[in-house]
Amino acid sequence: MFKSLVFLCISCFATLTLALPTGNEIINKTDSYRKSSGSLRVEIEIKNYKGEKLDSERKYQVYAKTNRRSLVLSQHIKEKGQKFLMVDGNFWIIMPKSKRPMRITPRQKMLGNAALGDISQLTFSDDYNSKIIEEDVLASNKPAIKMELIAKAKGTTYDKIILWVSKENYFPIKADFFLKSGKLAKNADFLSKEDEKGNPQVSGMILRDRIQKSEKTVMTYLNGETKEIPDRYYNPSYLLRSNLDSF
Amino acid sequence: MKVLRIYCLILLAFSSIVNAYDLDLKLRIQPGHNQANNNSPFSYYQNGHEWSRQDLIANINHKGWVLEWTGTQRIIEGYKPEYKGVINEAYKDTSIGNWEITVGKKRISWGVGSFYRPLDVLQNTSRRELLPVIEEGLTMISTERYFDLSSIGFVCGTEWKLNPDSSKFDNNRCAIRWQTVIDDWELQGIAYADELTDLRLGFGTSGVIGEALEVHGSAAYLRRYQKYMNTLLGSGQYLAASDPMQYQDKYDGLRFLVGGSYTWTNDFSLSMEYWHDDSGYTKSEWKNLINLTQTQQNLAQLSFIPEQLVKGNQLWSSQIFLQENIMQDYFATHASYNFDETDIASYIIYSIPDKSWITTFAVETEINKYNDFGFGARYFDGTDDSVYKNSPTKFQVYLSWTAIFDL
Repeated sequence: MFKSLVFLCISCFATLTLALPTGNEIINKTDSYRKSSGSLRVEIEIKNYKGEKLDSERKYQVYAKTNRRSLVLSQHIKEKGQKFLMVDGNFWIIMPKSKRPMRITPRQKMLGNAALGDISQLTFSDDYNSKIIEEDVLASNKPAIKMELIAKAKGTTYDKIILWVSKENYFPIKADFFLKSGKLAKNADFLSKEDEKGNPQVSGMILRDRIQKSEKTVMTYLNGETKEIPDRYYNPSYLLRSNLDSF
Repeated sequence: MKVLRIYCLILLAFSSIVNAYDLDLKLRIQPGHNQANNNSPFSYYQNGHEWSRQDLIANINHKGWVLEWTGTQRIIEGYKPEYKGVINEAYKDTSIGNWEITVGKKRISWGVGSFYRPLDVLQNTSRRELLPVIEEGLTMISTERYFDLSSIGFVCGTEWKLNPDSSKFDNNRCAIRWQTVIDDWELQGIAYADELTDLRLGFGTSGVIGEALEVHGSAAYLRRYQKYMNTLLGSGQYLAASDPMQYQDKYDGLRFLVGGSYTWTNDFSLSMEYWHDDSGYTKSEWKNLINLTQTQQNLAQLSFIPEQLVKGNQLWSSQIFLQENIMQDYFATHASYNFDETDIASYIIYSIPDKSWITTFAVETEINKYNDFGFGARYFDGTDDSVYKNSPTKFQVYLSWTAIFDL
């Protein structure tokens, strides 16, 4: 009787300690591999391929902050001065010639091989509610957890994401991105590297277009740093100023 | 040898500037053809002529300092080439405490709209030209205070004659602008005053409805505004010895624009705008001008009236085609499609009172990282005696090549 009671207690304890965190807790951890602090600057390189041939490449500086705020500055020679601003599901684009921020719709930010939404979005947890679908699956031959992310905020790039994260440390492995219509738009394989302390980090993504199936985009996070960015940089009118780079 | 040394020194200085500052150079070569409208009483060219415009644009941007200069060469068949240099912008953006300060010559646009911006009160640029407009900024001083998602700014400026042949006139002006973002909507209000037109008050908004629809609108009240009229009208005379086209003061005017755009998932986009401008002509005002010009044309057949006098009067009247809004009410639709690195656009600007229209088609494609190629065409048409049926130009075609130099 005593043995049975001890066994029952140990089982309960083991169940409690080994229980998986909730979907949202997992996603918070997953996000930390891409966005390590509340306010940061990251340089992103985009290479678009048609088949195996490199079709075009672009570089962007992304300044991300809390409350779903993100500022993307294009580095491409033809797009110099072009800025894209996302503030809580609202979007503006500043073209150098227009001298005025222009509102763009959530759909417009999704156009292109690597959509502006893909570039500006560094986290899942601000935009999606997450739940575990399967606890024991294989993704890219690694033990993984399969998660479903459903948009909870307005202006999200995708309506639903199926995400596979490593069972060991919740590092993102791959994802399927779905549009509001339910159509599979893209899938992604996450790339990893280690930081100077040996901790894993997301170093980029390979995005495959599932509508234009021959098109592929390699998105690489070249370098990032924690950076305090003044709130006024997320006011669309402020982006017309030329002293933006002085912070 | 001395010349070579000077040349080397200039090159050295230039390369130092390039290395120290963010310098961009862009070259645009745009040859084209205008076909004259021989049936128009306003036509000053016969048949057609070839033309070409070359622009070299240099832009330096360094720690809040901006300098942009455009050198232009214009060639029109049968005329000597014209050369012109314009300082488009030369200003410094800086901060003092919580205030943002701008001093210098800077382009400013506050309005919302693709074809027309009623709130561009400080300076206004035509948004319907076939070729890119070489814009000149306003010489000004401004101070702005930014909060999270709102701001208030004060601007005073003048269109100073930095270029000796500038057609602009000195007109001192000041304005206040308030702007905020509330939920899905951006709102702005302006108050403006200048020496020529007194007070203008305006309000504008833009927002997004659902996933793919963007809407915008703006309106401005003008206590005093100007209309470009031929002073021969109502005078009982048919020919003038000096330019009879004069700006006439009018009071309590209104300008407004409403529009929206919708984007499909395949990157096809359609936008529509309607606008009204009291500075434009009513149907009867236009009718009076075209009747006068047709009468002048008929007078040319009388042997005792010098042909040059008639031609001069027709040319003066034809200046109405340089006005941004010739008529009071317009509707425009713009369709665009993007695939790979190619943009295709087509738009129609429809003048409602007289039922005439301008149709434009343009394609621009990226050849490589540094070069773009484009071509376009524009056609003017409408009902008899309408504005664009009687445009001095029947159609225009052009090619364009743009090169960017990575210095």
